[in-house]
Amino acid sequence: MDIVSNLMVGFAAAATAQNLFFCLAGCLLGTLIGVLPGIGPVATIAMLLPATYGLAPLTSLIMLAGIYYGAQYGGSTTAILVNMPGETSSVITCLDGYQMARQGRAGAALTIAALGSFFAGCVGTLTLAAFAPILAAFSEKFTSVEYFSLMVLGLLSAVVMAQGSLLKAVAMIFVGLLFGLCGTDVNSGTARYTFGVSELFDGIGFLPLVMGLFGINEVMRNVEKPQQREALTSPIRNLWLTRDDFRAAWPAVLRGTGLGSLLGILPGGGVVLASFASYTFEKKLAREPSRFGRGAIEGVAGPESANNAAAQTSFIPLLTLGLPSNVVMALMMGAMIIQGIAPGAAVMDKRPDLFWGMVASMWIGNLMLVIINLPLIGIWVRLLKVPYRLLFPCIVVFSLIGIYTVNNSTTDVVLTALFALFGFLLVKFGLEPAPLVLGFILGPLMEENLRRSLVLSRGDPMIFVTRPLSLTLLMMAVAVVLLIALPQFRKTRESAFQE
Amino acid sequence: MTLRIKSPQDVGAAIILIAIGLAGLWFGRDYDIGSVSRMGPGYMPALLSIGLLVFGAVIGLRAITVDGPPIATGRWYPSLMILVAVLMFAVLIERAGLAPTTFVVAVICAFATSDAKWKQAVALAVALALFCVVVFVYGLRQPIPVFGSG
Repeated sequence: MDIVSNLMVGFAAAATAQNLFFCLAGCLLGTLIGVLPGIGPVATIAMLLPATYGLAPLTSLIMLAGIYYGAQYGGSTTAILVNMPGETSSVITCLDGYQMARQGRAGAALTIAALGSFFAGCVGTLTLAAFAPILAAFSEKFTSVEYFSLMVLGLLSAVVMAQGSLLKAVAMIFVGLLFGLCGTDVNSGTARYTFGVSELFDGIGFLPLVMGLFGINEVMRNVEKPQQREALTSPIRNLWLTRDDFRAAWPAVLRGTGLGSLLGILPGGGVVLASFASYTFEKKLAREPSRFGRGAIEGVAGPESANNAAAQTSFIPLLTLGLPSNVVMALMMGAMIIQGIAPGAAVMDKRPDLFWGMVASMWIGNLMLVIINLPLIGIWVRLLKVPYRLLFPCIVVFSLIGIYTVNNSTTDVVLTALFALFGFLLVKFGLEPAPLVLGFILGPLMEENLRRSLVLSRGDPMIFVTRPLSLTLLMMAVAVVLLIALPQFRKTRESAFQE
Repeated sequence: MTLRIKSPQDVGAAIILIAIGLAGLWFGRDYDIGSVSRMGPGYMPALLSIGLLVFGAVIGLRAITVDGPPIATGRWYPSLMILVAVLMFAVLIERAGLAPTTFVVAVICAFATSDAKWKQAVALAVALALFCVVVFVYGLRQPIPVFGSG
């Protein structure tokens, strides 16, 4: 069995004392920040990116993946206990999770969220291990023409599957692509949009960009709102599930896992789509749909499993095709590029220890989360009681020290401030910063592939439609955009993102 | 028919997009465009900038024809304070050292929230400065002076 020997390589690479330590550190830090209400996985990863900067490539990716799961996990805890979702993916968990907590079943909700997530994580990791080599082999046929079409498909499906106006989202991709071109052009050596600032010769730094747009910006949006939090309901006494709970929950966990694994692989798919789809599915299947929204355990078990399964499998397009399907994956891709790794099928061939080590570490990270979270729940609960006015200064100070120490550059700090202000304005005008980051990370690659394709065809743009594989990808992109014109789909999409 | 803004958010969005598009064209005016078969460094920037102008124009048109949400009017002061804190960090870190910088940034941030209390904010800032010095300078051995420009 190939998959077994591959996973053995992975576990050997991931299970060193150092890697285990940073996996644990990532999970803990991710949970710590993610559990804070109003701060979702994206902001958490953006804030903690500098902490992984100085580590060896595998170690830093392991830690980042840990931060991601930790943040997501922390978000569910907040959703259940105080009814405040950190991000759209835990909005769904609020619906029934918080109701369960109000009925004194917070312990059961937290336990099923943890166990469901762990199960889904295991399946997701295996799916990743099984499917990645297949997709990677497929991508060997790709030339720059196909890569360009693939990126068009990836970017478009990412915005169709996300919330908000499609027009504005595509415009934000353009802004991101343009920002991504800043720096020295590799072909001609021309310095583009550098304004004579030497720090910009290598392009706009990824860290200041995401720290400003997501990290500091999130803090700015949080302090702007008057603080009101729903009080914790009752102390958590019992973490055990009753027999009835278990019987109701496990089929939901299985279905959520399947659905999540599948939706995670799709370009543009991801945790939000997965948890929403799972909730709708559970509600449709239920004998009494009216129980949903009033503390139905399936409404926690399904979406929580689905989003964790999707969190694993959404790594597949990134690791095999070099295509980030959502903003979290764009952050992972940025981190890989900083470490000098170009994500894609080549990683699996040339650095099997890196690829399989990361896969193995995902499973280890999921295990650690279950172990550390259920017993430590009391600590996270206490953290939820710390007032904002004490938390925000700490977050801002740590983020700034992080961003400064990466290059010991005050320019990076100033850039962070600029992007924070920019992001603040964007949100005010209903523009999402997420597509911008996707465009930013893919900008240089798209330009390079477009340029190469057109050299190949001597300037004939028809090359994108005359090659069958490229044509298929582009037709899929058109189909995805047409999908949104369908009234049925549009209605579902709108209701999906209403709180 | 009078021209009436129906969606203030879209007006803001259109202004931002057109401004970026114009800036992209203006600052990129000297880059060689090249040809389709041999794209110069100016090709993509020009293409994207023009795209942004088109998007901006369409969203701007939509702003006066289709009703849309207003711009959320939050209080600007707290968010502004966070920005000031970030900039103060940039100004101070290489001149004053880690401890004073952390202290100042923490105090400014604390006053961004409406329910700030003087004593608590100062106590937090002192504790945070101490913590950062111990962790980052002595623990993680970052090359930042504790006081002064080192």
